[in-house]
Amino acid sequence: MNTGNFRKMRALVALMAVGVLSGCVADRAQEADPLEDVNRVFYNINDSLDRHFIKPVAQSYSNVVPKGVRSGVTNFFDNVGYLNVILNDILQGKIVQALQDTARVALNTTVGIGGLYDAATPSGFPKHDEDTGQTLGAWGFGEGMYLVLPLRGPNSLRDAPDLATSAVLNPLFYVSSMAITFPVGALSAINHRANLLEATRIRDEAALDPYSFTREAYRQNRVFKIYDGNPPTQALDEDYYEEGETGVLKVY
Amino acid sequence: MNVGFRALAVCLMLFLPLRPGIAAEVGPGQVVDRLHLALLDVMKRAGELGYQGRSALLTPVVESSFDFPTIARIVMGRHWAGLGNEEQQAFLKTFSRLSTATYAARFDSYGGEDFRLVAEEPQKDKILVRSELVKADGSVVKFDYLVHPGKDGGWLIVNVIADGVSDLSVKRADYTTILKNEGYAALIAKLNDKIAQYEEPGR
Repeated sequence: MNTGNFRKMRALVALMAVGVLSGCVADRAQEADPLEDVNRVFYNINDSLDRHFIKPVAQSYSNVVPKGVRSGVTNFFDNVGYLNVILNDILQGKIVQALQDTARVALNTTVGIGGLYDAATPSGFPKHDEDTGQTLGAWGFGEGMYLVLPLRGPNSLRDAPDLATSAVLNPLFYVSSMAITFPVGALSAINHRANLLEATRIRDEAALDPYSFTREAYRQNRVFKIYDGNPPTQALDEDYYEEGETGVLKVY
Repeated sequence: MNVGFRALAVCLMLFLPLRPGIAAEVGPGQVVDRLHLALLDVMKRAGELGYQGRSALLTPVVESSFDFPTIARIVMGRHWAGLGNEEQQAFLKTFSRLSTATYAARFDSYGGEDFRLVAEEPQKDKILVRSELVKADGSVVKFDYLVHPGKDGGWLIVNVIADGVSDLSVKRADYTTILKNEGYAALIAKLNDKIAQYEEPGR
């Protein structure tokens, strides 16, 4: 590893440590978005950048590049970042799933021509969605403060460590040539944004205050993922709570 | 089976739903199923119907499937109690119109999707109806409906949870922020703006 990569890794490990420690002191009060003022500033900057630059590029990319090619690009980046999924399978004790996911990477990298084609799903090795935030959630860590990260968008102290693990477990992280990393990174970002066009269209149509809307949707979707699509009854029951005048949650 | 028995069976099948009392006993899964069938119908005929046609078909189904008074109370959070009766009724009416407009605007094309009911799970006095929207490429979006007994009998939907995201919670976070920062009048104005956007020609 060269010095630049070592520095990057040290910074990411430090970030990860902050995230893990924060999980230990997470409580309901923290989850109430204490950083809202700062978050809204970053939200507005991200939104402005998105509206003026990123979304128009993603829209053009979506219009010009055929769907099959876009799927290939999505498959490639999913496959190249899949070691992070396998690590988190193991950390959550899902050993069978870790073995299946290892077979998935092997199949997609070889038969799937470097990951461009998803050969594994039809062969009985479906894609799983695991990350370090979900692992920390499964281990019992609270969400911690809600964060809006510059350029990255919605996040939380519990989810932030995944920035580190997903980076260091991605082989593209170790490519030092800017001539490769810049265009590949740009393609990844544009393709990712293109995949979110429909979701953001729905948000823009429905939301009165897009910041609150996005925060709530992000938090709930994260719980859904932590529980692998089957969140417990209590999470649903929260809808039947109302903040009383004293701020205490009460059932009605 | 002899002809007479078969005729009797057919008669029973035909007339049972017409008997008062039995017709009203539409279970929680059927409420969701009826909504899904209406949505599929407008999706398949989206172009021919246009926005107004979709809205006309969906309005009676949506209004008889959702418990809007309960939903309105929950999405307004603690602000509900502070509103006068007229304000509550005005919000309820606007919210109900927006819900129908949203369905009519969003379900505007058909790409081979299908809905399927997966399970009905009791949750205290409510039933969680689990369903899936299966897209043409095989990908699935989970739609869970929380259904509870309505005041006048029958079952009514109080929440839709799409891939874990609760519509009630998102709306409550969204609306109460506007109420807190800008007030009731601004909330109603913004909801009416949304309805107007959905009703724009070309939808």
